[in-house]
Amino acid sequence: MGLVAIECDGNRQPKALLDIGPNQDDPVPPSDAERFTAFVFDAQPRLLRALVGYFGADDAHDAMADAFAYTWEHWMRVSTMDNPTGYVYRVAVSRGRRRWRKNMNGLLSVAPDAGMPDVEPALPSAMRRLSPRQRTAVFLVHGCQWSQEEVADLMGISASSVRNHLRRGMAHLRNMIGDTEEEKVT
Amino acid sequence: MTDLEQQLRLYADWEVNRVEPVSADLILAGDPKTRNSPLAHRPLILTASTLFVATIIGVVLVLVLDGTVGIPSVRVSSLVVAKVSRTLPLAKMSSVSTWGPPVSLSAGEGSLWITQGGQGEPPASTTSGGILRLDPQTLSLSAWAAVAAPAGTAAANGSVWVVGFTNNMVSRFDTKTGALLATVTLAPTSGPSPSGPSFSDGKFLANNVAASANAVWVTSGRGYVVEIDPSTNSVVEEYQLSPGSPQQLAVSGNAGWLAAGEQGVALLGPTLPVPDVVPVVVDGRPTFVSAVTVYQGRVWIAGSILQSDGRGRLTYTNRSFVGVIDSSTGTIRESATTNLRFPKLAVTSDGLWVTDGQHVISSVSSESNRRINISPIAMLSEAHAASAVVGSGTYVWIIDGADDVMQRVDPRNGVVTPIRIP
Repeated sequence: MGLVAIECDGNRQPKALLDIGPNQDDPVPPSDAERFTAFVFDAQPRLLRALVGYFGADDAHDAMADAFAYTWEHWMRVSTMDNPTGYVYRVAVSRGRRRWRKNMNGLLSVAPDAGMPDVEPALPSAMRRLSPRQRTAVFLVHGCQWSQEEVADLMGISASSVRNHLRRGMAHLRNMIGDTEEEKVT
Repeated sequence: MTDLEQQLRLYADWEVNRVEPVSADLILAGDPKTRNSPLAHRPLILTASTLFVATIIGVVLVLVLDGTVGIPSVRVSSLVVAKVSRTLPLAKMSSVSTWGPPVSLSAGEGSLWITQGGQGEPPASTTSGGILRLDPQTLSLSAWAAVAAPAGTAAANGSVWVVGFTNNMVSRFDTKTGALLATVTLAPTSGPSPSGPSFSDGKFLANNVAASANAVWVTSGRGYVVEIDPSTNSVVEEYQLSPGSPQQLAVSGNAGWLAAGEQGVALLGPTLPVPDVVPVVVDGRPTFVSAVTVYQGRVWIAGSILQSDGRGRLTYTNRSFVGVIDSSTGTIRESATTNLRFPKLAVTSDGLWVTDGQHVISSVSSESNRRINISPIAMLSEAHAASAVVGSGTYVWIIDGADDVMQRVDPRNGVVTPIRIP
C-alpha cells in the first residue's frame, strides 16, 4: 500500500483509510520503454534465427529492426498479445517480403566465403533456392535444433505444416546438393 | 544425426553470427537507421502517398470510363481439379496418391508428363514414385507408370523417358500404351570413355533428361552428363562437369546444350570428344546460366548476373538476362536484362516466355534477330520457387515441387489457373 490518509468522523475517530499516492519504497511499475527493451532482449535471439532462416543473414538485421520499430509504434496493442514474438516475426516477414519484392537485391553466396565453415559448398545456394517457409523450417529444426512445435508457434502455422515444409525442404536440399542419406522418420 | 544435419548446424551457427543485433535503445530514440522511414515522418508520407494513389486511381478510372485505355485482363481463376481418367495403364489409381508431390514436368507428344515421389522423400522414397500423363486440353490425368525415385522426364518420338534419382536407372515408356520399352543402367563402367565418372557410393543421382528422336541426354547432381543412343538404348558417352552445375538441358537433332550454372553453357554433341563449356558474360559480368531452350531454330539461354562483393565472393545481383547463343560455339550473340531471379524459359505455340515461376511472366521477342525485348505480361500468385516450367500448346505450366497444385498460365491474357493434382 502507498501513502494513506485517515478519514475521521466528527468525533475524530478513524472512519476510513484513503489511498493518496504511492509509497517511495514500493516498486515502481516498469515503463513501456523498459518493458519494450526487455521484450527486445528476450525475443531477439529466437527472432534473429527465424529471420536468418527466412531472409538469409544479409537481410535479417534490416527485417528485424524494421519489425521491432513497428512493434514499438504499436506497443500498447502488441504488449497484450499472447504470442508477441510470433506476431513480430510475421510483421518482419510481411514487411520484409514487400521490400524484397520491390528491390529484389538480396545477396546470395554462390562461392565459398573465407569464413564459411567446412560444409558442402553448394549448401548456401541450395538453401536459398528453397521456398522461404521450407528454408525457415529446415534452418530452425536442423540448424538451430528447435522443435517442430516451437517453429509452428513462431511461424503461426500448424506443426503438421511445419513437418511438411521440413520434409519437402530436406528432400529438395538433398537433391540439389547430391546427398542420398535418408532423413529419419520421427 | 545425418551428415547433412550436421552441416546445417555449422551453417546456421555461421549465418546467425554474421548478423548484427538490433539495439532497443536506437529504436526508442527513433534512430532512422532502424527503419526505412523515420517514425516522425510517417503521417506525412502516408498522407502524400495516399493522395498520390488516389490521384492515379482517379485518372485511370476517368480514362477507362472514357474508353481511352483498357485494363489488362490479369486475374487468377478458381481452382481446377484435374479429372482422373478411367482408362489407366495402371490397374489401381489408388497408388497415385502415395507417390507424393510433383517432382518434375515436361511436355511432349501432345501431353504433359509429371513425375511424383522419389528424391529422398521419406519413408519409402527410393522405391516408390511414378509418372502421370496430363492431357492439356481436357485436364484428364492418367497414372502412366510406376518408376522408383523418379526425377526428370522428357518425351520425344513416341517415348517418354524418366530418370531415377537414386537407382541409376533410366526408364523408357511407350507414350501410347504406357508399356516399358527399355531400361538403361547408369554405372561406372557403362561408358567407354576413360574419363567417365566414378561413383564412390554407387549412386549417379540423375536429375534431368532431354530427348529428341536422335539423342537422349541425362545429367546428374554430381555433374555427370551421359548420352544415350535411343536406337540401341545404350550409353554412348559419359562426361564430367563440376558437381551441381547442370541446371537444364535442351536438345535438337544430334546436338544438345546444357545450362551449366556458373560454368556457362555446355555444348553436347557426337562430334565433341568432351563437352565444350563456354562461360557466359553479360555486360562484362559473370553469370549463372539456369535455363536453355531452342526456339525458332536458335538456342536461347537465361540466367542471373553475378558480381563480386569485393571479398572474393560472387553474389547474385537483382539483374538477370535472356540471350541467344551461337549454337555451335556457345558464344553469346545478343542479350537483354530483366529482374527475375533464377529465370526459366518456356516455348508455347505463341512465342517464348521467361518467368521466375513466382512473380512475373514476360514475353521474349526479337526484332529482326538483333534486339531482344522482354515485356511483363502477368503477375503470378506468390508461390514457392518453381521447380519446373514448360510450355505446351498455348499455355505455360509451372510446378513448384512443394504442393500438389500446378499453375497454368495463359500468357496471351495473363489468366492463371491453379490445377490440383489429386
